[in-house]
Amino acid sequence: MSLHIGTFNMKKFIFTSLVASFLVLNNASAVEQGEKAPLFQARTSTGKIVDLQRNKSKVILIDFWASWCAPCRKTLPWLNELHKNLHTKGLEIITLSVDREKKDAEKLLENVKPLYSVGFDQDGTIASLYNIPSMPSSYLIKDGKVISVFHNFGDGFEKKIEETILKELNS
Amino acid sequence: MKAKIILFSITMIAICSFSGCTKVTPWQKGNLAKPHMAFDPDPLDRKFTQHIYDSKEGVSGGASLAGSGCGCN
Repeated sequence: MSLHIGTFNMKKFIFTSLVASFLVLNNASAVEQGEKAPLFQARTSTGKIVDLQRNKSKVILIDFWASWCAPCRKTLPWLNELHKNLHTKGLEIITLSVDREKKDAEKLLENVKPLYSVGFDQDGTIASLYNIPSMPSSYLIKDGKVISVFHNFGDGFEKKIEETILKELNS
Repeated sequence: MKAKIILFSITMIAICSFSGCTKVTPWQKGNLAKPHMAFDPDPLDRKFTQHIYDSKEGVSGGASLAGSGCGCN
């Protein structure tokens, strides 16, 4: 069967349709450095509202975590240390749990005893806004803009993140 | 003919859109991290079973492969 209909190329048309539909289905892109940070509100375990808009003028570290994510579990206690060292200098830490079951996150938090704000994003709405590419993912935000993005924390990530934050706090 | 082309392209797009394949985002991978989703959920039990097997057969080893798991070795 010939796929040529006059000057119209059926093969090309099918290929273009498939590529277009693929692009439409996968159009979301992750929030990158230099982009405007998507605003959000999240509820904490105590019922408080964590609002990014309210902290817009500060240097903010947003961390997405989950109780089932091993590297995230390592990060949470370290964030307490970071809060102790840099909160007075102007750093605000907002962590967002993406656990579907809130009790899983709360169980972990009982041991961590966070000094920073912990919001819950059970349905992944905020994670979708940022379209985080991996777990854990952290975003350093200043004046509503994403200054740095950190993914897949490897060895020595603490030093790297702390240095970047200090640089922003001192600038 | 034009109607056929339109119908065909709509069908193709529908097939792509409503297929069973969906992207599992990183924040939705909690179920995959559950112990019962692991290939080897109980390492102690596996070792015990392997020990029984080794005793019965009078041989040991060869139950696992060395490598990084990246498929490059």
